[in-house]
Amino acid sequence: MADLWTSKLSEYVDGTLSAADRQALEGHLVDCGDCRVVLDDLQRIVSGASALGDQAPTADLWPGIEGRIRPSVTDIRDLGAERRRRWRVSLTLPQLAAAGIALMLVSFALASQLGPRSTTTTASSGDTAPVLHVGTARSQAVFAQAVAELQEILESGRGRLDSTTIRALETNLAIIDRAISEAQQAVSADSANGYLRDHLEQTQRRKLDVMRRAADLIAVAS
Amino acid sequence: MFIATALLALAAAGQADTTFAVSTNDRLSLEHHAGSVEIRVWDRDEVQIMSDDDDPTIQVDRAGSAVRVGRRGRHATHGADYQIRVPAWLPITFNGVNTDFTVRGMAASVRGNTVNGDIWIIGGSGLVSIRAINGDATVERVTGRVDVESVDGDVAAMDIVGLLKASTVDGDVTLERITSESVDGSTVDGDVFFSGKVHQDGRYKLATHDGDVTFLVPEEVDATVKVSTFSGDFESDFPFTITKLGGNSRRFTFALGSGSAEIILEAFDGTIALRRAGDN
Repeated sequence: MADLWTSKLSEYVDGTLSAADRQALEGHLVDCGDCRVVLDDLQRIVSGASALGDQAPTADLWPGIEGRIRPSVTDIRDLGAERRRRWRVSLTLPQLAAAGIALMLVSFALASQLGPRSTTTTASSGDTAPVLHVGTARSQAVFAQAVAELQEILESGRGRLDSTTIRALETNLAIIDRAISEAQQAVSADSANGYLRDHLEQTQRRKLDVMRRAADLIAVAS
Repeated sequence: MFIATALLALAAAGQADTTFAVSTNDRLSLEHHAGSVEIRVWDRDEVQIMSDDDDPTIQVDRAGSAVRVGRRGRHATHGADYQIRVPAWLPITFNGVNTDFTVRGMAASVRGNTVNGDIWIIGGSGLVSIRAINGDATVERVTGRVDVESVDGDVAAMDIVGLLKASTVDGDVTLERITSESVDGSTVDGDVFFSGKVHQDGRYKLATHDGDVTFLVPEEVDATVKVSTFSGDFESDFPFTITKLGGNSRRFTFALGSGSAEIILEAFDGTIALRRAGDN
């Protein structure tokens, strides 16, 4: 995700990009999943902001979130600050919460992808593909922290969602939790198995994504 | 962010039909809390919104090239069914809560979210990105890049030409008659099915935690097939010779033809099947 493009996303959402820049950006979006994620976040924030009006938030969640995630996002703090400056967005608290969630997810991704890797050679297979160590203490700590932060948001905001939505979210989070538990047991039994590690990581990412979407809903409904 | 916002005051006082002009650089953003929305294309550079009731509250706001349509104030959560006609070139974004969306024939980007409801995209070209939480998401006959997602519901993509990603948590992923160099279909609790062409340099990944994975392969195919499961099984209509064995017998690789494409099939607990097209 190049800064050249991210710096234009806010203008794109505002509708102030020139036709040529907009066309170029839309061409880039076709191939850049990261930019699409950022764009989706921006559009959800904008959508939420338009629905929020001028209501005062019932709870100020951001200071707590910020304080707790700061140690885990040291390596991306500058990038996040730079992005926030470039976005030129004045965020309300629910929006800040959403932004904090995005930072947590990035942090988890960095911990998973940039954390210690090793090249595992399995005697029977000669498989020398790099193995992602999702089981490292750091990535699991970041995951647990992100889940805890999101859980706090969900518990404090569940009253803003209707019962059907809550039921669907809780049911599916339980399904994911069961899958995570089974994958963790499998990794414990066969820690050199790259498939199991990847599977665990992907399932954990999915849980964060679902929780993030739930937090987005709460932010919009606030 | 919306300093340039200007209220066009196009609320249709007591009318169920609102029509306004759009120009080449515009894009439409639609918010609807409950009911259904059906969007079709026509050959005018105008957007027409028709509702099933005398709805005085539909409001159109313009901020630069962004045109936002929705209800405001105390009517914001009022339910209604809308039929909307737009020019095919107009990029659209929609968001709903208890809302079903159907979009037909767009030739521009379509992005949409709903919480409790289904999304159905039929025909068209360009970028399609849709997400439901409690509902089904379906895309068919689209050429472009397709990203379709649900949480509690089935996702399906049929007759797609282009890059494709489809995922859900509790539901099946069905990908039929796909022509793509990149396919990623996954679920946690459900089955994943693929049929379509295998591009020589394509990458196809199907994955589930608890469910079956079925990949329907043409008779002539050049692909390296990577199979991984923890406690599941593997079945194949094709004879194959394992070229690489993982740490146990449930993780292995083999080649069909020249092995140029990559097919990744993963089921933590379920049956992985490589089927010959035409036999099913």
